[in-house]
Amino acid sequence: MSRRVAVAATLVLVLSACSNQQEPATPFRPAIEAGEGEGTSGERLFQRDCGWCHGSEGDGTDRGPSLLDGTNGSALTHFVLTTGRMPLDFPQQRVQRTEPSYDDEAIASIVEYVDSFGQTGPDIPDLNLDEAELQLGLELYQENCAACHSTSGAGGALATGDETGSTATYASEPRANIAPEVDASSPTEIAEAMITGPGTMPVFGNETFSNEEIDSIVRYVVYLQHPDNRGGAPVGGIGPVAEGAVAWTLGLGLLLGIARLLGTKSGPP
Amino acid sequence: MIKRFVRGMDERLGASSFARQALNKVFPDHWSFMIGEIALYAFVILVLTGVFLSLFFEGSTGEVVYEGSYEPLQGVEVSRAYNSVMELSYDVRAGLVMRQIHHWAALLFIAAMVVHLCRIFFTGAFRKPREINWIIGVTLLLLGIFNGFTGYSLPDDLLSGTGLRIAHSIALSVPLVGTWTAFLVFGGEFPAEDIIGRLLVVHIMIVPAAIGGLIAAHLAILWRQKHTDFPGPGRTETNVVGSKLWPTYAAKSVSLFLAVFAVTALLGGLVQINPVWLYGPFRPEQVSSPAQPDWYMGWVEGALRLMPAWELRAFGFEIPNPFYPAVLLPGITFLLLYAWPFLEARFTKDLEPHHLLDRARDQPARTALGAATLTFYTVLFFAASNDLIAKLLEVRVETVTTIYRILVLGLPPVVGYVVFRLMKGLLASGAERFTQMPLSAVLHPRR
Ligand code: HEC
Ligand code: HEC
Repeated sequence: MSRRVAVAATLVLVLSACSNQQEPATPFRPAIEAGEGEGTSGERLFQRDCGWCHGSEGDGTDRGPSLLDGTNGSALTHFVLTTGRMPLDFPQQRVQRTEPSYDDEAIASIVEYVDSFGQTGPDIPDLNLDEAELQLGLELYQENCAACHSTSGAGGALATGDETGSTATYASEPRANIAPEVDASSPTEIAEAMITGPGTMPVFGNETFSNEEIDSIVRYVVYLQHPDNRGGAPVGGIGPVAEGAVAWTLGLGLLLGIARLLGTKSGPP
Repeated sequence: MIKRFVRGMDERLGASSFARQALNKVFPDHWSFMIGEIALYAFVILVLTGVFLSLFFEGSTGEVVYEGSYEPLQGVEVSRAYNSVMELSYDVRAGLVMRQIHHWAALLFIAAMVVHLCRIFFTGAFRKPREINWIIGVTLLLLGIFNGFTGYSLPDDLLSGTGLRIAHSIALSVPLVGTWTAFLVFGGEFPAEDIIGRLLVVHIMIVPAAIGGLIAAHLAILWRQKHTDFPGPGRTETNVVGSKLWPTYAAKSVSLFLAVFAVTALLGGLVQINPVWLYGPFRPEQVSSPAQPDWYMGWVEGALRLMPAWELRAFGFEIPNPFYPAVLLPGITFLLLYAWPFLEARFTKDLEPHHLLDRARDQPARTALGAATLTFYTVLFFAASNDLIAKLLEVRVETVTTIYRILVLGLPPVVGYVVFRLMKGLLASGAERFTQMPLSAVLHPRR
C-alpha cells in the first residue's frame, strides 16, 4: 500500500539522517611500525602515529593538513595532544576531546619535534592568573565566546552553512559543527584554544587581546567550571528546555498523579 | 454571644440559606475535573510569591554598579532591574527560593491550563451551553503565555534580552503597522529604555488583574451551569453525581492546593531555574546561544527555526520572514481555538445543549483531529531545541532542521489516522479499555 511505503520512506529518511556519522572507507594503519627500545623520542612517536596523515615532514597529505602554515606552532600541537584530539584513527573522524594518548613527557617531545619542521604559529602561552580579573573575564567572555560556547560554558551546535571550515577536506560531506563544553579544559588549553583557533573556532590572539585580557578570560572560563551556583540542582546548564522538561514530568506529572489519587476513577476511566 | 451575632447577620443578609445551598453543591468525583484546579492554585502561588518579588524588583534600565556578593559581577555596571534580581538571588533572605517558586509555578500554571484544555476538548465539554467558558479559558491561556513571557523578560539578563530582541523583530515583521507598533511598545529603537518599566506594569498589574477577573467569571459560570459528567449509571443530562462541596469536596480541593504548594516549593528549593548570574547582564552587542524561551513559547520559537528563508510578497509588500511563523501561526492557532465550539457545532449540525461528556472514542474524528494538532505543536516545540539535539547527537543542525520540517508536516496526519482507527475500533468492539480490544477491531472496524 502506498501509505505504508510513505511511512517506511519517512522512517528510512529519519534513520539514515541519524546515522550521519562517518565510517572509515578503508581502515588505515601507520606506515611505519614502532621499533622496540627506541624510547619516547618525539621523532619516533610522530613518525609512527602522525606522519602517515600529516606527512613525514609535517607538510600534509590527503589524509591530514600541513602543520607548517596558519596558526600551527607549539601551542596548537600541544593543545591537540593534551586534549586527546590527535591522533585520529582515520581522517574522517570527528575531532573532539578524549583521553590523551601520551603522557606529558611524550607530548613535550612531540611538540618539540613538530616545531623543528619550522612552524611559525604561537608558542605554548605563559599564564599569569593572579593578575587576571574575573569581572573583565566575564565581560569579554560574554562578548566573544558566549555566542558559541553559551553563557554557562555548556557549548552548543553551530550552523554548518556553506562555510564548512577545515573539516570539509577530509570528510566527504560537511560534518556537525559543534562548539564543545569548556568544563574540562585546563587553563593552558583554554589559552591555546584562543590563540590558535582550532577547527572552526576563530583566532583570538594578541592582535585581539592583550595578555592580561587573555588571562582574564581564562580565569572566567575556569570559574565557569565551578561557579558560585545557587538554587539547587542545575539542570544541565542548557536553560529553559531542561526546565520545561522538569516542569512537565516532575511538576505536572506529580500533580496529576495526586489529583488522580484524590479523585475517583469511577465510571469511564 | 457569637451565636447571637451570627443570627443577627443572617436575619439581615439571609446568608445561611445561601451558604447551605453552596456548601451542599455537588461536585463530580472524576479526577480529571481537578486539572483546572491545579492551574488555579498555581495562579494563587504566583500571586503570593509575585507580591514578595515586587517588593524588591526595580523595573528600570538605569545603570548601577553591582555591589552584591556574586564575585564575577562586583564592580560591573548593570541595569537596576538586573541588579535587583541579583540581590534577590544572592543577598535577600529567601529571595532566590521565592524567585524559583514563582518561575516553576508559572511553568506549571500554563502546563496545567494546556492539559485542562485538552480534557475539555477531548470530552466535548465545550459544547453548548459552555462556549462562553471555553472562550474565557482560551483567553486565560493566552494571557498566561503573555504574562509568562513578560516575566521572563523582566530580569534583563542576556538570555531574556535575546528573547526580547526576537520579540522586537517579530513586532517589526508585521506589515504596515509593524515598525510603528514596535516603536510604540518599546518606546524607541531596540533596546529601548522604557521597555522594562512598561513590562513590569503589564506583568504585575494589568494582566494578573485580567486573569483574576476572568478566573472569577470562569468559576461563576461553572457554578451557574452545573457540572458536566461522564455518562454512567444514574447520571443524566440533568443531575450531578458526586461529593458535596462541604466537607468532602472541600477536603479534596484543599489537599490539592497543598499538593501544588508542596510541589512548587520542592522544585523551587531543590532545582535551579533561570540562573541569571550565569547568563550575565544584557548587553545589546552580545548574544547567547543556545537560547530557548520558556516551554510555552517553544512552539513559536520552533516555527521560527523551521521556517525556510523565503521572501514572500503579498499585496505588493515584502513581508518579513518572521511574520508567518511568529504572527500568522499564533494568530490562526488562537483564532481556531476560539472558534472551535462553533465550528464543531456547524460541522456536526449538533446545536443541542450537552451536560454529559463524550469519551474520546465517541467522536473519533474530533479525537483524531485533536491528536494530530497536538502532534503538530509538539513537533514545533521540539524543533525549538534543534541545536541542543544536534549537539547531543553530534549531527549537523541543518540535518535536524530538515528532519523536523518533514516531521511537522508528516507526523500529524499519521498520528491523526492511527488515532482515528484506534477510536473507531474501540467504539466498534465495545471494549472498555485498549487492552481488552481485539486487534481485529482496529484493522477491520466495519467487520
Ligand atoms: C588519521 C589521520 C591523522 C592522524 C593519525 C593524525 N592527524 Fe592530526 N589531523 C588530521 C586531520 C584530518 C586534521 C584536520 C582536522 C580538522 O580540523 O578537521 C588534523 C589536524 C591536526 C592539527 C591541527 C592542524 C590545523 O591546522 O588545524 C594538528 C596540530 C595535528 N593534527 C597534529 C597531529 C599529531 C601531533 C598527530 C600524531 C600524534 C596527528 N595529528 C595524528 C588527521 C590526522
Ligand atoms: C564561532 C564559534 C566560536 C567562538 C566565538 C569561540 N569558540 Fe571556542 N571553540 C569553537 C569550536 C567549534 C571548538 C572546537 C574546535 C575543534 O576542536 O574542532 C572550540 C573549542 C574551544 C575550546 C576547547 C574545548 C575542549 O574541548 O577542550 C576552548 C577551551 C574554547 N573553545 C574556548 C573559547 C573561548 C575562551 C572563546 C572566546 C574567547 C571561544 N572559545 C570562542 C567555537 C568557538
